[in-house]
Amino acid sequence: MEVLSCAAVGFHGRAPFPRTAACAVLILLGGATVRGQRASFEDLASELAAKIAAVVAPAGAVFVTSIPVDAADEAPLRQVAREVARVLTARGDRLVAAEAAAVVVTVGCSTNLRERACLAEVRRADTRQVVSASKADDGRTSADADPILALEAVPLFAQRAAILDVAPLGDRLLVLDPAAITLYSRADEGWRRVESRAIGQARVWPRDLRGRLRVSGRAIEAFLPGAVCRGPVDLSGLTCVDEREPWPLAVDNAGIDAARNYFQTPEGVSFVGAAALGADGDARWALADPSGTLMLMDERRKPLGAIGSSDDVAGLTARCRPGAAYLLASSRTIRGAAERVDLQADTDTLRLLRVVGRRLLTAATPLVLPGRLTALWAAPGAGVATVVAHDAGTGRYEAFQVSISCVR
Amino acid sequence: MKRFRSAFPAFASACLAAVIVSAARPQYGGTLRIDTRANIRTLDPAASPSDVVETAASNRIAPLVFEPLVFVDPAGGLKPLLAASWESQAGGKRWRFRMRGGVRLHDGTPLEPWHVATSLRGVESTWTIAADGDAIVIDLPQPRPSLPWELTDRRHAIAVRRTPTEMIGTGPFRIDRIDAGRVWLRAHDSYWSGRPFVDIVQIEMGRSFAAQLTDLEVGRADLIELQPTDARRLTQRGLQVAASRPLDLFALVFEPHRAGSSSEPLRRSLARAFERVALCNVLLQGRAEPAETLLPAWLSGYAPAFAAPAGLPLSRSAIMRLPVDQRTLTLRVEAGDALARSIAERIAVDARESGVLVTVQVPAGLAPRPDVRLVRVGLDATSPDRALARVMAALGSRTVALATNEPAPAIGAPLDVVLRVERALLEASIVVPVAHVPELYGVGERVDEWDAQPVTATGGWNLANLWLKPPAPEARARP
Repeated sequence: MEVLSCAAVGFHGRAPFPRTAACAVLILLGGATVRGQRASFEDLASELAAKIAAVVAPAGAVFVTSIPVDAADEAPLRQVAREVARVLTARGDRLVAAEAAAVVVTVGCSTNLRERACLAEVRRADTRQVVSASKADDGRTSADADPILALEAVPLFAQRAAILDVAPLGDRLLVLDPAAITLYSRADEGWRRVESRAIGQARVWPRDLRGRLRVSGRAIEAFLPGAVCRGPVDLSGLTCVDEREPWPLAVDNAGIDAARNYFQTPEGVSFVGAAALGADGDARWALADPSGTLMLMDERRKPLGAIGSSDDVAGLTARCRPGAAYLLASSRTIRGAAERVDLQADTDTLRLLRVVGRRLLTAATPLVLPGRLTALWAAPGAGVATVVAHDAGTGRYEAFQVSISCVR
Repeated sequence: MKRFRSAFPAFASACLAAVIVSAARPQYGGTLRIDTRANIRTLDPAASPSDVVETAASNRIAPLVFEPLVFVDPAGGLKPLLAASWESQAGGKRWRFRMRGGVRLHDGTPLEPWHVATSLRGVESTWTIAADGDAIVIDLPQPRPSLPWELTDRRHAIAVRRTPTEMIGTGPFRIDRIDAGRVWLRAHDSYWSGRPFVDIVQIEMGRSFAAQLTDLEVGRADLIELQPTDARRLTQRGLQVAASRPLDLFALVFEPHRAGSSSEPLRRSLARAFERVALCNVLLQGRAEPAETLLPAWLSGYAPAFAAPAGLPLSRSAIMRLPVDQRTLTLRVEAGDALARSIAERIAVDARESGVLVTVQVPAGLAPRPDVRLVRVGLDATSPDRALARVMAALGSRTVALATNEPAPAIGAPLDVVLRVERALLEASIVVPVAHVPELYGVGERVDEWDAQPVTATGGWNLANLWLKPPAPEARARP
């Protein structure tokens, strides 16, 4: 099992160091598999709703409820119940409280060895009628239906100065560091510096400086604590002004204060990283707070509670699983894993996670970085994240593009 | 930005392997010793075992020797085994199974499609089965859209008869010999999925639970059958307990003279009188699940609340107003089933609290007619329609007829039909589910596993992946 898990991870273009590191984590964390993922029932909702509608008289007073087989089924089941309610109301039924209902519809979805199935009991006075919708799971274990996800890291750029963010532009690359924004173009031997513009000579940056690049067409913006730089991609006429702007993150925010390293939501909740979640369930965002807690927030950005720990988090999507939202979360590498393969203990690990209901499920084998993570950025809905790690041993910062690869 | 995709896995595997070497790398050889209560006469897939204990043991041992075309994946769905792929035509009246290449029989000869056709013809006389190139084609008198599920049954496993008494298969082990007290299996060196680690599997038959426990504890056995009530004893000694998903149903079944509608309120009251959760957590040491339905949710695919009967029990005062003979029940359990007896006694204690007087009866010779029996029914890890049909068959036509007029769900029946039948069976509380219990095994100290657990979720024995640790150096040094 460990060998398979190891083989499913790609850490590309690196010297043996990170490969060894990846192995180290696999040894300790190799038990994490994608098998924990719960089934989705979205594709059954319409059929079930239509069957319910066929046995419920139109324009009636209906109460819709659901019974999950276990807690992990709650979120997808709620989605099915919502679809049932939508179909019934669209054709004139009224959704009422249980006491006032002439018809009670109870929905349940789960899996057995043969299929994924949703059932509904339609109870009217003393009669009970059951309808079902199911999809055979003969192919559930086939590669098509259940791809193995793996984190794939491609090294982009390395330098001795801290890298705050990078933005690939075809065969060019923008690099944001504490002193400048630099444009590189691809050359045979790697990257060739084309242009560089200094930023913030008069500014005192926080010790843990963070920065973010956003490229829109031919214009770029660089977000820094208490400052924003704007200009064209070729960096001519780049100007920086002191202003606290919202940063391009998954959740609304007021940017970073000039002397801090964390964001705040408009409601005043502090966080260091954020990821948007899917529409199934009541949680809309996962936030890593400054204390290292991973917490969920609802659509009004009200905290729903902690679900784990993470030093930073970003959202990621997988091409083979459209609509599914994954979390790329970082945490300190388990000490033993690093030591066993002669790694410095001061490294971070990236984990690919899914939020189901209010639980965190591991979706891929974790990936060890060649040092401490210093930046983790992803545009909302993006399939690629930018990861920067600081290797204290070699004294350099290295930027990677991390994505989810699907093994079919 | 050169990618190292192809090189990395090899490197990673190599460095991972290097670390494993320092821990423990699986070793080949040795004899794995297993105890069972069953007395197995034959492993012939087509033979009918004589009792439920032999059926259960045969269902675990025979697949090690004889493999079917497809099998039920413990994670759900079907997976190819001897068949590489399959397709149906004419609405399921004709099926074509393309055979996996490179499969060898236990005598080293390649498995040919005609071997498969001959084997299946031996158990299905109404099917027309023919070899066709690298495939077999099955023509059926009636469409069977779920034929692949039927082919997962043990009796459809492929057995090639060399002589009237000698059979060979393709599984990871071949039959070495079967005598009165033991079955000997030997590793199949050219098994298509890789030779098993152990050389020999020795199965000691007819061992009671108590004898098995002793065998494991003194190192005479490596794998034993275990009762939930003994699981803690093993874990406290640092031994591993392996478990399937719940595959046994304990249920109360009322006798005909207590199955009338006039007795229904009392039956319902008894069904609600005992605390299933406490029974599972305390008596069964957390190794069982409370049962409100015949099929556990992992087999049915619906929440128990959908199938559980809706009627209310009598209050204690209403029960106490009944004549004593009406609220007195004799509960019979099988004489040899100590676990069933413990459960029955717990039910009796709880029932007394509700005013129902239950006397547990363990028949030895002639005994008075019971009012209700506590039965243990083995569940098949298969599709819900087939699983429920098997439960109904095990309960017996007499019991089923008392409970409902509904026939067993047809093969391939949709889930709402399965639910309707199960609900009908439970409606009158003539059959009252009590607990779902997994198959449990005690695993000896020298057993280690590679890449999988010793027992799968569906109960299969994963013996090909087990290996035996060598004795520790100090143990080797001892005289």
